[in-house]
Amino acid sequence: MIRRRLSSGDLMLLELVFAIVFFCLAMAASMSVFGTSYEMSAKAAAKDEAVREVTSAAEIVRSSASAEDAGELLKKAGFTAASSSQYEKKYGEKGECIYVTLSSTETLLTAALECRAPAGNGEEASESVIYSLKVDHCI
Amino acid sequence: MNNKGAGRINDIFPILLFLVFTLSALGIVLASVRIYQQILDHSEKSYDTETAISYLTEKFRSHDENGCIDVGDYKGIKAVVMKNTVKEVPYVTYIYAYDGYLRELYIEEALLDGETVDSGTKILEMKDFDAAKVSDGLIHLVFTDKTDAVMDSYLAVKSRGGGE
Repeated sequence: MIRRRLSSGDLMLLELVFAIVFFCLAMAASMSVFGTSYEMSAKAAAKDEAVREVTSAAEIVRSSASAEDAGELLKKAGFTAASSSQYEKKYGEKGECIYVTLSSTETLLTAALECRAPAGNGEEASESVIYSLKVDHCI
Repeated sequence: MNNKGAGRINDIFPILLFLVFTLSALGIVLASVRIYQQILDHSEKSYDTETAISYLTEKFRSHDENGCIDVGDYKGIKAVVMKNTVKEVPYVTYIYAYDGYLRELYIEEALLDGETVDSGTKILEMKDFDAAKVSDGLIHLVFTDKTDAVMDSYLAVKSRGGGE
């Protein structure tokens, strides 16, 4: 049986191929790790901002004496009335939206606050909720 | 002659390969550093204003008695004014922004005249601070940090009425 060795040129070519493959794998692994951490950081920042907006809106609801009073205060704070009991406001660099839905009985004002991610590519508003809170306030 | 050429390639090729590895590693490190820097920038961007909002919120909660929190001014600068009484001595707390810092001045009311605008203790770096009363029980706070990033918050005063 004749054992044939690769020529030095072939060996070098093989070495070059392995080097490029190794580089590509290393690049893919690094980008995957750092890309994931960037995504996590962006999500955390979005959640921080949502919590801040919801907390502000909750403070407005908790300072009001009635649903109408809450509606007026929300409008002063930059909200627009989508209906008689729902208010919304865009915030953030990416156009996230906070929705406030009010309902009341004789003694209790209830507000459902929700922050949602912006719509993408002209589609309907995204269904993904970043943060939500329900407030019950005695009036 | 051919052997000499092949020999040169044999010598140069490993060096070239080493350079390829080095440049690849450098490229990966630089890209990773850039991404990490962006992550850090994200978190530092709103650090001062978020801290200021948390600080004011805690101050409001601890001073929330009837009529004790108001919006006023200190030596012509917009400030949040909080009053309380300790052993029948009236004290006042002013929170305002001056000379690039958010400041707090806690002093006996009788000794206020002897203080100047930079008497307040520096809390954190803040370019500007504004406070406005939206209604009887709601105050709107606006913070501008040293990078001109603006953040606002609404704080409700739970106790109302009374006061002097």
